[in-house]
Amino acid sequence: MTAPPRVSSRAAELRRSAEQRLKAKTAATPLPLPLAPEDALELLHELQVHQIELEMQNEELRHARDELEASRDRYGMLYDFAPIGYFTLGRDGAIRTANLAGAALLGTGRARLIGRRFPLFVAATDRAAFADYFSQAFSGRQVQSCEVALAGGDGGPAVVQMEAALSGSGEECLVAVIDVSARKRAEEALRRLGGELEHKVAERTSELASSLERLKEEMAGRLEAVEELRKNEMLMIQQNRLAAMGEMLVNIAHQWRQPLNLLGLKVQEIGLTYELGGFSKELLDANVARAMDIVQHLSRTIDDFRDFSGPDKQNSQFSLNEALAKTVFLIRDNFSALGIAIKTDARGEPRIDGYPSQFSQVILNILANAKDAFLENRTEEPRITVRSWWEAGRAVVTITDNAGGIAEEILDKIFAPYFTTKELGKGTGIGLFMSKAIIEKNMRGQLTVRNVEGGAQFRIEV
Amino acid sequence: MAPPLTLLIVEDDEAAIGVLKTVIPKKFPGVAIHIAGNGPAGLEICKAHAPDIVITDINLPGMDGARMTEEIKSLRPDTRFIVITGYSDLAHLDRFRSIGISDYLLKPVKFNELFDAIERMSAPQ
Repeated sequence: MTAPPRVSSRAAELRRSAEQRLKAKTAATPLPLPLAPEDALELLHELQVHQIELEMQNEELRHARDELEASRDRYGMLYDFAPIGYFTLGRDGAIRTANLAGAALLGTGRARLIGRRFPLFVAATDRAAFADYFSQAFSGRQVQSCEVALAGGDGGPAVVQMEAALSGSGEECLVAVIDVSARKRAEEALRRLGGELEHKVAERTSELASSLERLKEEMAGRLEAVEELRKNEMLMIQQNRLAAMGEMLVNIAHQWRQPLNLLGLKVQEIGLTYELGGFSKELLDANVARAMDIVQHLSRTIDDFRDFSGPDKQNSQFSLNEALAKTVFLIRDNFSALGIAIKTDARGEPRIDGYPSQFSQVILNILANAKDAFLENRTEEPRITVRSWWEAGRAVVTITDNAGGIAEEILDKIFAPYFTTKELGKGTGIGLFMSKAIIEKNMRGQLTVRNVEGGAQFRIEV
Repeated sequence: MAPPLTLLIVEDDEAAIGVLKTVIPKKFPGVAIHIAGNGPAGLEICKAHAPDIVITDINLPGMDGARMTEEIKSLRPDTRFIVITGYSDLAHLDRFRSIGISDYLLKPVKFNELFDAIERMSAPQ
């Protein structure tokens, strides 16, 4: 039997050891020689069939080996280029294999890793935890994971999650190492943000609470101020009332002087004529009658003043001209003593709804204002004209003075509460304010003012 | 016998004038009484009749009592005055004092005070 011509030295080696094995075998059980020719032919045939079978087997084996090699290369690539780190560690912790990602994690070239102990790459603080985990993995328990910090890699210290599995032989441990630093940093950032947010919320809440507190205080302060203002207003109104009463007393004094004087003269005349001559029953009766007239007159003027300053009567319809005449009558003597002439010009018979005493108060306030202006400006020949008439379904009253008028810049302020141009203690600043309120709120009319030739003109429409 | 006393009463209350006109002559028989209802009228009467005594109110229509008194005084310095006033006019008295008038009566007028004043004024000075 000759060997095939292109047989390799490896094949030659195989042949030699096969011949040796055959020699040993035939020594134990030698072939029955010589062989009959037909036996020899059959044997040859057998051998040829064997040879072909072996060649076929050999071919199959070679093929299987090629496939295995291709497969191994493929998995080797997958292993090397996997995005997570893989290590094979021995019982002593020595690194037996590592892929590229694993080497990058440890920050060392792959060639220099082999044989070095893995725990050296774990941060000192986590080494005990790693050792514990590693020994558990070798004890064959189920696949578990743990997180440790590495001592340092390309991107600085990294935190990794490890999952270890014991190899089939039990002599090696396969470890997958995943870099969770980014996730950790994100978690940390999130936790910090959460903390900051909480802090901010707490800060803002406390700010809001203190704002609320301040607002409450301010509100209380304002309520107090409003209350103070209301009290002040009451006081002002009270003062205005007292001032009006004082004014009334002056009016009464002036109005009563003449009748009282006359009453005195009439009474004295009785005694003097009795004493000096000329006394008679007729004179006595006449003087008593006259005295009683005067007493009646004085009594009536008390009623007039009381009507004016007394409490409000019912809302009623009243004659405008009558109310004006009564009011002017109340102050005429006082004004005439001051040299102020009052002219009235009443036309028609306007009747209006409202409170007569309040209406009188308004007229009196306006007249008193004119009087004060005359005194302040030392007006020569002071004069007031009160006109009233009926116009387009409304009663109109104008009160015009010649006291020089009101300065344009304060014309729109004179109805404001507490506004006064008078010296301290002389004006309350409430008279015209109340007048406007009475005419516009209580009587639904209008009270306006304007300057006319030489003075001011107040106009009431109701 | 002394010449008859001449009075001027300046007053705007006619009823009061009526009483004064009736009663004064009873106390001062033969007295001549002139009446004026206002300041300018009083001034005219002074020019025409030269009264010895002027009895005047402070408040007068047309011209106030003080001004009338001033004018009469400058016209006839011998004229004497009795000023009648109410309490509320007391402030005006300063003006009367400044023109040399110090005799005044308060309203309501009491006849005995008025008579005393007339007697005092009419006595030879």
